[in-house]
Amino acid sequence: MSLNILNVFLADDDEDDRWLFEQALSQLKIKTSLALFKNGKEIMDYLKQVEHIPHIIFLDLNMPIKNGMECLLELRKDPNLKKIPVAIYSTSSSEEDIENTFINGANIYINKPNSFAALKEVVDKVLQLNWQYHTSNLSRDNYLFRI
Amino acid sequence: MKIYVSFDFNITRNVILKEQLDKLGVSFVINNAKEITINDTLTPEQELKLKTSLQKYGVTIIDNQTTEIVQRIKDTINEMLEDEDAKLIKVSSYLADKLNYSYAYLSNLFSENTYTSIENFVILKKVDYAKELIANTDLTLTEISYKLNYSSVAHLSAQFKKTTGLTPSGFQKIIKKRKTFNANN
Amino acid sequence: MRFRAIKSSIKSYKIASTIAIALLLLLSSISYKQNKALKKSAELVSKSLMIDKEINTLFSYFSLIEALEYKALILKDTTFFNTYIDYKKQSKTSLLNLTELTKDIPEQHKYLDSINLYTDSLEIAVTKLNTYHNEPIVEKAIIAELDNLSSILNTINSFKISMINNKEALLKERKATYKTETFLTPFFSLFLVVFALIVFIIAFIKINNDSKKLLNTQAFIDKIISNSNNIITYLEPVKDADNKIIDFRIDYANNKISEQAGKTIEQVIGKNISEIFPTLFTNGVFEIYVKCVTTGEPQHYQKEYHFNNKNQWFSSTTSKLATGVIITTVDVTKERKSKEDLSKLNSYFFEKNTILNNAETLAKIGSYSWYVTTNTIELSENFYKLLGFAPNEFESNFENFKNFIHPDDLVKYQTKNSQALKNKHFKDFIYRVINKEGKVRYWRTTGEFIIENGNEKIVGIVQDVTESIKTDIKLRKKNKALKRSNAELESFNRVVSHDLQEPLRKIQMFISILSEAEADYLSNQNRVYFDKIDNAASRMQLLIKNLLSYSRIDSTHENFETIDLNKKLEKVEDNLSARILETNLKIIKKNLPTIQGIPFQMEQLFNNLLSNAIKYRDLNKDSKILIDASIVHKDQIPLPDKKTSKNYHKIVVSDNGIGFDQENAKKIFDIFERLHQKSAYSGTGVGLAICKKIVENHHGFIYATGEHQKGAIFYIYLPIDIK
Repeated sequence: MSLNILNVFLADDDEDDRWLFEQALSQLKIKTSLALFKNGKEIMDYLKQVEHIPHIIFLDLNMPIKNGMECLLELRKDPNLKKIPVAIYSTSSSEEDIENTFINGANIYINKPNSFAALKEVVDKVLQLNWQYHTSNLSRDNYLFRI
Repeated sequence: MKIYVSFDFNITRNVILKEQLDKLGVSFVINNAKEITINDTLTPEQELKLKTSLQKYGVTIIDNQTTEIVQRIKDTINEMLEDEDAKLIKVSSYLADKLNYSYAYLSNLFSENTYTSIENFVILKKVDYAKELIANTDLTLTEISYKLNYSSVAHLSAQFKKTTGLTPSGFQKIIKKRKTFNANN
Repeated sequence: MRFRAIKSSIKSYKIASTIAIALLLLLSSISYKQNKALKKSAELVSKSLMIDKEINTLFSYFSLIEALEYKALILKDTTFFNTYIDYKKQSKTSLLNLTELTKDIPEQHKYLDSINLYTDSLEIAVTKLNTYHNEPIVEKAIIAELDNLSSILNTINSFKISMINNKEALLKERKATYKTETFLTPFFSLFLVVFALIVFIIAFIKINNDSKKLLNTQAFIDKIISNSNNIITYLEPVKDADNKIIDFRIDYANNKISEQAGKTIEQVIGKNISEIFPTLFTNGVFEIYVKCVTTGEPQHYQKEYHFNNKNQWFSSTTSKLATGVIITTVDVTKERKSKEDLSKLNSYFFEKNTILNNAETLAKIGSYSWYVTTNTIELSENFYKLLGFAPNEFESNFENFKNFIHPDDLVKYQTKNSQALKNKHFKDFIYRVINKEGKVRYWRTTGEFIIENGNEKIVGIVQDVTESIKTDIKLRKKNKALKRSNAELESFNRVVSHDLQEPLRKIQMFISILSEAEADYLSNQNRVYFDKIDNAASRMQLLIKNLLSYSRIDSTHENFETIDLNKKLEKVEDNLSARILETNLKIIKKNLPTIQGIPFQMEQLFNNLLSNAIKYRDLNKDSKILIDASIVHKDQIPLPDKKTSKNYHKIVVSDNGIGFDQENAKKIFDIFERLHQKSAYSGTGVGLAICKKIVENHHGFIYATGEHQKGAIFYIYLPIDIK
């Protein structure tokens, strides 16, 4: 056996969404360990003092205190954190939001799905993709998906 | 005062391996200097424990054979994508031919170890290649679709969109903007 | 030329000369008087000397008489008496002379009278003695007589001494007088000579200089006269026996005359006018000359002459000088001509002005000329009318006009004007005036700086722009309201897009969990209910999404860019590539134009049209979409709408789908209008409404034709010349 446990972080101010995400993740084949944060500030403070960085971070855009975009910009400026893949997890389907997050360094843009099945599928797909980018010889610069 | 020692490396190695494997409480046979057969399957926790305990003796566990085969499958797919002569050959036969295993076996092994299928991986790989060509060359989509063995631009676009959620031109636009953004920051 | 200096110097020389002559006369008279006094005193001295001589002569005779007496007595000379008579005669003559000489000197006269008396006594004495000569000497009587004689003589002698003393005193006095007079006289004479000399030398020099200057002046005046454009002549009347003027002789003429006479000046001077200018006798000019000579009043007149084959006008002034007339004539042909031109021009301008006045009335324009230096203004007729006044009803000056300016705009008006004056450049501005009726009007004013004869002047126009300002204000209010409603719409969009979608998504999410988790426990009926809730929620989500995209098609928020529609179509095909492949759709397209537009809207237009064609494809046929483009003239567009461009791009998108009935051709573009059953075709009825809105945003037109089960054709017209 060679598959490691994936460390996943999620920052979302919506309690329901956090719960749904946790449920979806727990029902996947991929083994993960999840850390949940209520806003951008919590996750950034935690990331700055933690030893092992996560395999992937899911960021809601619309959050109090520190929003997803601010977190993204901060992550991309920090030499220790800049390599972490970031998936934006938002309700907004505005083309402008999507384009801006990509330009600012997001790797994946996810529109929060309307059904739990879709949520599971989406998260699964993201984790698979992320696994490929971890293990296969794929170009980091072109790590760009809209799901 | 000086003392002089001599080693029988076979004995040393066997003692170390035996000691550490015994700690895990699993049954095993040391086949030769480079191969051990464990009768049970190791949990990831056990595997990690074994790895770290053997490390202090300078012993590394070479990834298991499946990992090696998976890696070889990936490498072969890379080769195939860049091999102009392989265009007309199916991935299944190419892999079977190159790796000398049945495709069913390889496919199964790959799926079990990577959470994805060989087919999906080929698509991901092709799209990744297409991304690189779009981002870093002046090739047109027609040229890229030919190079990547798509029957038409529409097929490339469809697959690109399906895989990445973006159209090739949308992707190109974002990459360009990101480059200027990074250059300005 | 310093005429005045010369004139004044001549005057001062006259005064100086007069003074000099007066002085000379004074000096001459003084000198004459002195000479006369000198002569008199000299005469007096010589007279004194003669008196002196005569006294001596007289007394010498007396002495001789005495001596003779003695001699006769002693010698008994009888001849004595004869001699005595002789002496007596002579002494008498001498005495007479002396009396004559001293008639001016009363003292001497007194002495002489006394002497005369004593001479008589002497005679008696001598006669007595003489008797003694013939008789014996009676001693005693003779001696007594002799004594008597002697005392008479002594007395006479004493008179002599007195006379001599008197004469000496007189002489002394006269000598003194003479001495002083001989001293003064030469000094005066010398002074006289020197002074006269100086005066005449100065006078000579001055006169010399002045005559030189006078010569220069003369030359200067000659030059002026000869170079003058005026013909200057002096005519001397020629009279007949009855002293009637019958002709004039040209005594003087400047060079100019030769041009008109056609003769050299030498040929003209001395000749009669009847010979040189015979026309003067027929055109009444001769009579004018005569009148001038007889009355002495200057005459002015203008006459037309025919010289050198040209008709020329001359203006002349005739004035009397000495016995003749001096005539100054100037050629005024050009002036007459320009005067005529001017009057023509005047009537032309009058005409233009009339037109302008009408134009001003029509255009609600007034014009003004503002003379900055004198601060006066000239206003056009309509300027007054714009203020509600009749032309020239009020005096047009700056102060009067200021009273019409709205008090709130007065400062602005003055600031703008002073800026204009400072910068020598007038910038348009708008201000308010209050007209005669007390109504506020908006005026736009423009001006142009002109420097006329060194004086600053602003000419410009005012235009009553009240109507357009009012419209403007209305428009601005509407615009503001529009902006506000736009902002409201935007915030509404935000609410819809996020805040409304969020709970909807949750509803869908938990429905999905419920239906998944409880699937096995739900009755069939309940499963249907669950599906219905799910469908309704999905539909609501789709509606929200489409509504959002419809409201995003905003006509004002973006500037037009150059768009290659071919590229846009490719992008849309990219986007729809999965559906296109899936449905095996064939797209046949011709080269599309490059237009001016909003890129994302054009993309959405094609996207919606293609999606529409895919959605309503005929499943029993191979789906085809044909896209064609051409350029057409506006008259070729079969729509009644107003065309803003001469030519249009015509883009036709046709399909072989299920089509629609032609009667519904207009309805399909209405929002939420769906021609098909909900279940049969997914959609919200917004797609084509969005297309219509986009095309209209681009000042174009869209319409469709359809045939049931055959297909639909969409026609899009986009303007080529965008204003």
